[in-house]
This record gives sequence, structure tokens and C-alpha cells, in this order.
Amino acid sequence: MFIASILAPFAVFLCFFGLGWVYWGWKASNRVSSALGWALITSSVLAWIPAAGLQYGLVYALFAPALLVWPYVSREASRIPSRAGQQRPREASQWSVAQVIVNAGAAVVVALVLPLMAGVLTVFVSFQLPVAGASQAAIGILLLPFLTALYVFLYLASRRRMQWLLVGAAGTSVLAAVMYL
Amino acid sequence: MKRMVAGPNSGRALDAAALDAHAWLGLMISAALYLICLSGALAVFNQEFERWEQPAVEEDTRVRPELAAQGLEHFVERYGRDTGHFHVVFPTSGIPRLVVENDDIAHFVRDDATLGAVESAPWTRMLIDLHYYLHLPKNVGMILVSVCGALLVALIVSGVLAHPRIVRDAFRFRRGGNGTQANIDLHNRLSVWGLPFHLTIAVTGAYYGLVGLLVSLAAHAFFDGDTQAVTAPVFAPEPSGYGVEGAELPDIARAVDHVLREDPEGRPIFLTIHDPGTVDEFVEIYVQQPGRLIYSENYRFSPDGELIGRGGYRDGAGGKQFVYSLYRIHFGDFAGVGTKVLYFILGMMLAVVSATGVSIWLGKRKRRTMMDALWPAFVWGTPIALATSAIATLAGGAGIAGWVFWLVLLVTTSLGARLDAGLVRQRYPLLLGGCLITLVVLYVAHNGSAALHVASWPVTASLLCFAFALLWPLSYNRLRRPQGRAGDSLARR
Repeated sequence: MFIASILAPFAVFLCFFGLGWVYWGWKASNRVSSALGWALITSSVLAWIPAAGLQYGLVYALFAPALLVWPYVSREASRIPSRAGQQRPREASQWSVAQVIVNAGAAVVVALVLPLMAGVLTVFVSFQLPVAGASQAAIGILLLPFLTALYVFLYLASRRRMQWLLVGAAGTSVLAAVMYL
Repeated sequence: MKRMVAGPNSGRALDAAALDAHAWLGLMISAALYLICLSGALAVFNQEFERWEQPAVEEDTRVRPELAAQGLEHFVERYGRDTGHFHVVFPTSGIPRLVVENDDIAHFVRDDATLGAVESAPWTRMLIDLHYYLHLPKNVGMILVSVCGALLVALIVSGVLAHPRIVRDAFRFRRGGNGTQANIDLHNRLSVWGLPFHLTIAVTGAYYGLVGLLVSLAAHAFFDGDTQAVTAPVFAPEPSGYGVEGAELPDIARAVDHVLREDPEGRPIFLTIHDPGTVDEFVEIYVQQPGRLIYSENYRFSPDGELIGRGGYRDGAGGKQFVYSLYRIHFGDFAGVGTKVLYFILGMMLAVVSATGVSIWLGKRKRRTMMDALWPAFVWGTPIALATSAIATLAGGAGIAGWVFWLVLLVTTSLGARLDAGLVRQRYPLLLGGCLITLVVLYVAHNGSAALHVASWPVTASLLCFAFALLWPLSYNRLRRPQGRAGDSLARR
């Protein structure tokens, strides 16, 4: 308990100090400083683990920079001149029925079709891996959101969405046939 | 939705395509994502809110097996045995109160083992339901919320790809201008530095609704539709054949005693009697493990208090431990209030990212439409609606908290359409501050001296601090205005 009460603030300090090095390296365009900073941030995990345990320590080490970076961001804060009098013209909202239909269709694809396609691929990949049941489940749980994200990104970033969707659907059908037939 | 950027040149095609995808997807789920993030950040404190809603209940942090057994007996005397489960929630669950319940109703247990007040935290329930289901039917809502989790991963990936200046802008924050640059910098700084948290929340959030899809697909593909066969390696199957049809209540005191001796470091969270009075009856005690992210280790007992076995989550396969850790990783419920505060701040940051994303898109447009005022009205209207639903709950409308929330959100957002966006950003925070002050005044009037109880004052004090922070510009401007006039007259002289 005593060691933890010393090591936890030390881990915070190490992370904060590391962020400082990253900041100074960034400001001076010095890659060595930045690399040293990242090394310090990474090494804070070595203080977090004895302070809070392996599992909690890893979580704190991962999330702490999000809180501790703000003094450096605020130090770098600047003000840009406001352009008084530059008011954008106000217009009534313009609704195009065709555009609404296209967007609604894409929303259905993104929210329903692509997660389903990613689900089929996830199950297929998970069950091909040489691991036991619980690990298959864990890999599947990790894989599904990333595959969904990949599918969604490829679909939305594509200039030929319908073609991409058809190719994806065909691939999924093949996988489904392999698994279910 | 048209492309946000002019046609991509050859060198930056990926950035532009990623930005397009990021903007489209962000706009599609922004409102739902904002509601989920804001309610989730607040729901981190669900146990504290539950205590706050009923501050006058007796509290004790000890686990007393005899008291739990007697409390359950009194509960069964009053409500009978016709239920699928009985639960006993221990004072070490995070709320220092002993609760006995069936599938329909829950009672606190007093120190003399008699039944106390009915457990009722309607506002907290409303908040949790908003986060889990967006108040939609549970199956649909949970899948939709989980899909938002998976799409948040897509937003993170496309956001990183769309941000070629991710290193060059790592510490930059430019205020002023028309506010769009500040929104861009805030959005990007929060997103980049909070990326590990955002990714963790997105992946673990996607699990709850989409795991059903995975289980169903895998069961039909490899196990002839037997979903139990898919889940068995992770979630230990329920034992059967230990009970007797129509038997008396199981000996829970003996089972709890056994756990306290066997696992002295663990914290019993709750106990469940599965299928009471049937052959499938057994007792399961969930024990939180210190230093571990797994939800609990589960001890299973026959109705006469003999140990059947453990769930094996504490020392099972890595995959099993990982899956059983997802709840605590997602909700930050593993190392006391400090971790909850950390999760709350990071969760609020994610809500700000959702809100500023749309503001950036609106700010970049060359024209203004109704949407420019609707969005800030929705963003500020959400906490106003949450505060108003809490006021309605205190005023006696326990069953209508959800309806009040949506009605107030609808009204405040629609009102935004008639106002200027700047006016919304100026007035709505003041309205929220006023609502919070009203809530605190009503709460103190409603609960009297119990409002000073340790179960309530931390939440009340936090609400007051937040209200004063929101109302501060009002007093600041009032104090400043006469000085400004004095300064003007001096200058004229």
C-alpha cells in the first residue's frame, strides 16, 4: 500500500514529464526529444503496474496521457483574429428527396448490411484459427468492430459504392456457403 | 450530404476520401453517439446516483450471511416463491446497502432483518436505459447502440487517416475567428490524445449487442444451431439436478460463509438463486476479485449449501478472462471513485468530440441553415432534458422520467430553430444551470436532513458546483457591466 502510494504519483509524474519531452521535441522539431518523451511515457507503465497491479496499471498507463497533455496544449494555445461582420448568408434548408433516399439507403447498408457481412467474415476467420473456444470468442469480439469499421470505411470512401457492395456481398455469400453448406 | 472537400488531388486522395467517409459517418450517427456518450459518462456514476435517489436508507459495509438469509426469508414470506430468480445484493457491491429481490421487485433489508423501503431509482434507470437502448425496445436498442460502437471504430480509423497533420498539430489549439478553428483543434486534440480510451470504449461497447449476432452465426455454422455450445467455453454452463421440486429456501448463509472463508480477499457482489423450488435450483455467488478486471469469480452451491464448483473466470483461459472483463473495462467500475472520475472525464471528452464534429461540418459550410442553431440546441438541450427529468422524478413523476426527457429535448431543440446559434450557446448553459439549482433545491426540500447524508451530498455538491460554473458568466457580466460603463464615462472625460 505504501509503495503504491509512492509509485502512483511517480507514474503520473513520469507520464507528464514524458509528455513534456514530446512537447519540447515537437516545438523544436527535435525527433530525439520526442522519441525520448515517448520512451518515458511508455516506461510509466513500469511504475503503474506495481502501483495498481498489472491489469489496472495497463489501463491507467493507456488513458493517462489523454488527461495529462492539456497543460502543454494550453501552453501552445493561441488566438486568431475574429473576422467581425463576416456573417454567412442564412438560407432555408434545402431538401432533395433523391439525396435523402440515397443517404437513407447508405445508412441502412452501413448500419445493417456491412456489420452482418463483417460478422460472417469474423466467424469464418475465428474458427479457422488454431485456438480454443474461449480464445476464438475473444478474437471474434475484437475482430468484429474492426472488420465492420474496415468494411464501412471502404464502402464510404469508395467512388463506386454499389460495385463495392456487390463484390463484398458476393465474397460474403461464398464464405457463408463454405460455412453453412 | 455533399463532399466536404473539393475534389481530391492525386497525392491526397486517401486523405480526402477518408475525410469524406469520416464526415458522412459522423453526421449519420452524431446525434445517437452524443446521447450514448453523454449518458454513458454520467452512467459511470450509476451507483452514486442510485444512492442519491434514496438517501435515507440504512447503510452498512459488512457482509452478514445470517442477516441476508433472514432478509430473504422475510421477502419470500411477503412475495411468495413464484419467480425465476431471487437475488441478494450485498453491501460490498458498490452501494453499501443489503437488498433482496425477485425478478419484479427489490427491498432494502434493515439491521433487524425486516424489509425496508422498496428499491426505486427511476431517474438512474432512465439514464442507464438511455445509454443501453436509447429508450428503444431492448433488443433493437442494444443492437443499434452496439452498431454505433462499431461505427465509432470506423470513425476513429477514418479520422486518423483523414488527419495528415496529426503530428504537426499535436499540441495546437487556436481560439477566436468564427469558432470553427477552435472546434477543429479541440475535436482533433481530444480525438488524438484520447484515442486509446475511445477505441477501448468503442470495441467493448460493440460487444454487448453484436455478440448475439456472432453467437447466432457461429451456432448455425458449426453447432447445428446450439448457441449454448458456442457460449459454454466462456460462460460456465448452469448445473442442474441439484434441486428438489417444491423444496424450502436454500441455505444461503452457509454458502456465503463458505465464500467468505474460501475467498477472503474477494468482495461478494450479489447472490442469485436460480430456478427456486425446481430440480434446476442452485445458488451462485458473484465475488469481485481485487486487482482484476474480470467481473467476478462465481461460486456455485447446491440448495443445501454444498459447493458445486467455480465458474473459473479468475484462473481460466485468457480468452475467457478477456470476455468476462469487458463490462468493467467499458464502465470503469473496477478501482473505486478515482477511476470513475477518470472515466467520466474521458467520457465527457468523447461527447465533446461528437458534438464538435458536427459543429465543424456546419461551420465549414458557406451558408447558414436551421441546422446551425438546431445542433447546439440539441447538444445543450440534452443535459437540460436530463436535469428536467430528474426534477420531474422528484416532483412525483417517477414513471415518466423517460417521457419528460424526450419531450424537453424535443422542445429545447425545436426552440433552437427559432433562435440564433450564438444565442443558443449563450442562453442554454444558463438554462441548464438554472435547472440544476432547481433540482438541488427540490432535492433538499424533498429529502430534508437526509440530503446531508454521505449517500447524497457528494452528488448534490457536484451538481451545485456545475450549476455555479454554468451561471458564472451571468454574475461576471452583471458585475462587469457597471465597471465597463464607469470606464466609458472616464474615457469620455
